[in-house]
Amino acid sequence: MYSQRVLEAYGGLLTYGLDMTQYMLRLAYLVVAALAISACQNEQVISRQSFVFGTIVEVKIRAADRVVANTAIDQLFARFDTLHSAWHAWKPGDMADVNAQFATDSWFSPPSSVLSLLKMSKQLFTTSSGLFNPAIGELIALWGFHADELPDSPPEHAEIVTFIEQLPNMDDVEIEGGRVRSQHSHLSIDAGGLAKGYAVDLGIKLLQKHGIENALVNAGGDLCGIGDRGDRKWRVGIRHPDKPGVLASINLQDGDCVFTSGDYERGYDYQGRHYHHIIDPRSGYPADKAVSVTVLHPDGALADAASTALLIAGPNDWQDVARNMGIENVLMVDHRGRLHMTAPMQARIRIEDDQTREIIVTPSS
Amino acid sequence: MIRNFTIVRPKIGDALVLLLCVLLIPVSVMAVKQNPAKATAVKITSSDSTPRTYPLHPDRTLNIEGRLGISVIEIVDGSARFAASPCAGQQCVLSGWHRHSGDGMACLPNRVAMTLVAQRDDFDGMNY
Repeated sequence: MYSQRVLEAYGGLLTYGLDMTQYMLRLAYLVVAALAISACQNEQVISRQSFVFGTIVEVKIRAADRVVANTAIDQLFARFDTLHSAWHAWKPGDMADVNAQFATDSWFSPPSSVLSLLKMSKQLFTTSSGLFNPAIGELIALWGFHADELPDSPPEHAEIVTFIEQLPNMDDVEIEGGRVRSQHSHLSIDAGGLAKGYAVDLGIKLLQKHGIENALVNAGGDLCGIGDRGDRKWRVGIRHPDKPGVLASINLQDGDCVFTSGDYERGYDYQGRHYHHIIDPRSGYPADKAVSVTVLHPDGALADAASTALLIAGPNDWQDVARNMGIENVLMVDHRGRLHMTAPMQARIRIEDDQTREIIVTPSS
Repeated sequence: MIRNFTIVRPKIGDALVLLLCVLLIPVSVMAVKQNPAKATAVKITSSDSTPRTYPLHPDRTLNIEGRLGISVIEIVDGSARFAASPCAGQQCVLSGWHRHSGDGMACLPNRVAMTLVAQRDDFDGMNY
């Protein structure tokens, strides 16, 4: 009788009127639920960095099984290393072989990873109205960006003009089944504006194959996330292109990728001017209409290519290009420090820099 | 089951606790808002070793072994910089001092990277 009273006192409403068997059953449920909750809490965020893909790659995984997570990360780093050598624009590898074969004007079968890049590049070239043009490898080389050490001065204007007059583009790459060919004598593929995005997409897929549902893969500042961190969503800071600190932040939805292209990336200074590696295929000179463009989209390869194309397009023309490429979330910083963004992007980001003066929002079409 | 619920008259102690709570609101808001961007430590990754985190106080000089040689990272008054690095471009050295959480710089040829972090984990990833 005494124990029954104690149970009622502790169990409260739940046990009122229940007999001992029912009570024990409920207690068992509670124990199981408590164990399940503590198992969730055992999930920890594993974070590892490695110098792969020519940059520093950071992978964060929230998972209960450390061994599984670490195995998956090892494989991801190894895959990134393989892809980096395969797609490298100027070092020996699959892409260099493919470019050499293009020079022969005859049909050949490229390795499958390069074929996928070529197919994506053709499509992105079309949807970006030619602003994303990976066929201009020779021009990038002319600017000196196909070397570990950058040059002291830009190329002669006449050389650039000559190249632009017979500009190769992705329409010059013909694809039939698994075979490809180019009859343009100056075509050389530099997939730098797309490769990192595609690699991060493949990296996320690899993690998912290992059963990982919560991860953040950051390849030198361009990243994709799946799931969340557990206590909150993955939170990403967008670094300010003009000064130290953070410009804005985004909480990632499951599968979101954030890619930024900016004029502060790889480049060199000559006579007070900065020459960076994102070349406008229309002028042959580094894109100079905007400072940086950030694109948020679930497809990393598309986000990567779009951030490049929109940086080249600049503040006056980016809207049409974004629409054609199927991009809704765009943030652009122009040379006057103004932020241009789409309405959906404004709803997703939080401005962290209190000195931001002017924000121009484009309503969604 | 609560069967004998009676209303207890508030006493002076309850009022004091309540007052203390109200007074603490602005203090806690200040504490959270205070300098969220100021980094407190620098996380250094080199080659394939595990990253190590060093506080930004006191001042010190770190010699980090990389693939090509030693990168020298200097910590002075809450800021960190690459003081020297065995690479051709010297971009990491030229980038100067870093003090904001989320800032970072790498000497990729030497495979040494540093990221500034704050006590509070503001961001899981930096986009640039």
